[in-house]
Amino acid sequence: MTLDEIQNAVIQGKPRLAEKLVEEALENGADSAEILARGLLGGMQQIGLRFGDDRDVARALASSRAMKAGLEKLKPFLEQGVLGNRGKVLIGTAGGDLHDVGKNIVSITLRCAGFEIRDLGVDVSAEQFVDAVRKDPKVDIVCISSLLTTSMPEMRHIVQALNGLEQRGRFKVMIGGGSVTREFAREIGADAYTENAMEAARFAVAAVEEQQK
Amino acid sequence: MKKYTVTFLPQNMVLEVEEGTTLLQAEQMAGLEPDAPCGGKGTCGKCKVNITEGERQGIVLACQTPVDCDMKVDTLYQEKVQRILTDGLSRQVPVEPGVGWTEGDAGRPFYLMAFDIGTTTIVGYLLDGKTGKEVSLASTMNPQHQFGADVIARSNYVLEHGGEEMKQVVRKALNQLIGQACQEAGVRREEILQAAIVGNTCMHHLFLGISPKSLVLAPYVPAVKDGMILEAEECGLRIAKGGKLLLLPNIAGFVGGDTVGCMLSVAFDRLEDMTLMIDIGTNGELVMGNRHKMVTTSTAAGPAFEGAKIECGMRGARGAISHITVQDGKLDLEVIEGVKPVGICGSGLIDGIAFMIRYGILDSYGSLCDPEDLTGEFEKTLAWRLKERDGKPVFVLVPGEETASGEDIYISQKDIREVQLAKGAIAAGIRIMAEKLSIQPEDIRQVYLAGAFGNYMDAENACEIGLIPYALKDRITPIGNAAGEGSKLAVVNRGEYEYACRLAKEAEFIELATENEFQDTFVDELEFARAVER
Repeated sequence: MTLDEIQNAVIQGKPRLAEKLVEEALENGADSAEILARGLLGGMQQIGLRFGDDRDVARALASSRAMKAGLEKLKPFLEQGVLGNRGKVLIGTAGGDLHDVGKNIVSITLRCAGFEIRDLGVDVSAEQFVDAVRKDPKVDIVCISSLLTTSMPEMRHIVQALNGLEQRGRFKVMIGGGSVTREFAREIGADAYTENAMEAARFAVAAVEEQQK
Repeated sequence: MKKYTVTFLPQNMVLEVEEGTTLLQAEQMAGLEPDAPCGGKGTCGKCKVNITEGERQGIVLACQTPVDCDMKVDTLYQEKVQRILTDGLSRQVPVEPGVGWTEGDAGRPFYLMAFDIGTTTIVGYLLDGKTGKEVSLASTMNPQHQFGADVIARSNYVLEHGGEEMKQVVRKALNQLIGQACQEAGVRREEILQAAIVGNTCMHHLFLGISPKSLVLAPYVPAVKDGMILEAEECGLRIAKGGKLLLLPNIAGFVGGDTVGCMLSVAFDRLEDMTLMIDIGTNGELVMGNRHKMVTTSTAAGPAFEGAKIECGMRGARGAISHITVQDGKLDLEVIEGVKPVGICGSGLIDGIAFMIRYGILDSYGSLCDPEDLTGEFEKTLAWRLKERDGKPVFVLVPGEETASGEDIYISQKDIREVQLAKGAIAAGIRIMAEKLSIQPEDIRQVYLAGAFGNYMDAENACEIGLIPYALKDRITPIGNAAGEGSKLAVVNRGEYEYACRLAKEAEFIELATENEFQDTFVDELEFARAVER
């Protein structure tokens, strides 16, 4: 089964293999949306299932890169609307922090899960987040990450600024990263803390489904 | 509020504390300077003590144990005596310290003191002011350790509580080192006319009482970069009246005066051959180049090589497994001071991983194999070492019956991941620097390893795991405590201090976090290129 093999390539973090298998699957007439959902994203999901909630950054990095390589090959074959039809996500690392490894893993996973991503990059201030949300009424979820504990005050500041917006009911705020905990998320008034990229994707999917009800 | 009496052994320190005070806090109050790298969060497990009298007895984490009755506590459960590196490769310079006695006292002997303030340890060298020769040295753990193991934790502490305590404890430690070194050499501290300090940027700021805020928030720049000549007295150092203090300059938030000291010790900008200098600690600082151009960077290697975040990890102290080799078809472990093993330190960890790569126990993605995957006669004898602990794979180095604690000493899958992240960061840093200089890593003619870890680790194994490019494995020279050597050169010769200031300005700093290529390179370097692909 090629889809299983693609899953394995993602699990093992083999980008070249993932590319090759995606090409093969396409040649054999596999459905591109299937390859995405069951192959690439399925692989990412398996990691969570197999390795529990351990924050295994080395593995997650390698896997996300394999997923990204596969997605690049797949993109031209995906029907209009498969990517980016789920909703819109705004993502960035909190002001003061240049570390974006975790943020990029979440980004690529959310893209594979069908979200349109607007990446504000690193060292993003509260003003920049607020400005981006104001200008774009389509934003469903705002994701903020931070690795260094020193940028946690800034994260608090960002979430407070977002919570003060009148359109706050229309989007969710999700935080994550090495320095952050569930308690901290609750304390600063974020809607969710997610431990890893798959959990972020699950929360994002659930959040937009809720919204649509 | 109820109060209880806590007695710390073997210091025999008796202290009355309020109910609910943690044992760690009590140790700090007693001035014991306990080892608590995580800052008392209960995550690192390094603050273990043994309660010998009290309602609950046995080994506990000091930071997680509130005092709720009178207690007797043995703090020596984890031996803290460390091997501190004090030797370095020295360059000869004329003795022209720029200070001396005035008014007819010119013939009197005088002395100089050079410090290397590391995040973990502080070393002080007492030098003869006329000959520049070292007359004694003293070293100690950096007492700031009680507020956090690494520069980020300490910076956080200062941002929350202010920098006064942090400044005072390090100044006190320097004065104690001066006292010790003087006593050993039979010298009075009033005869020291000048001191010099090298340290990473954070240590520099904390010593001066400058906020480290700018160091830990993007874009991570020092509040003060330039070298400084100060009045020692104003910095709380008790030496001769009017004595001077030289502080070597910083290059960037994570490339400080210690790196400048290393560069000074080898006169980096006069080197003909393309050279890579590595100083591995919590951050791996790298300098690459020669007399034509120098680039420098810092990689967030993390504390894995210092034994932190490693399940059975410890620093290079008594009882640490420091080397692993294969002798006569058997795994041979070297333990510091030859006692029953307590844990594994950075050099042992590198050997262990290199061993697992060589014998096919690890694959290129860093996964431990199943016992069935082992082929070959010797390999099969290792099968029992592959076990599961709490459902997670580990490789057992020493079975419980042969260890100090009775528990297995092992390298876990998670430990391997930590090593991958650490070595990946350094290896990626090396590649990005080579690109900046338009060279290939193989073009590097010599590799200088500075610092304690560089001295103890097996260079070939460091190449086997890919920490250093494999092609360079025969070009590696440990240069000892080069930062300390730099400090000595600066204090002995004022021209050398000025030269250090120029070196710091000449070196081009690369911020890896903003390099586009860094992340992909980092992910590439997570792999073990020399391991089997399964």
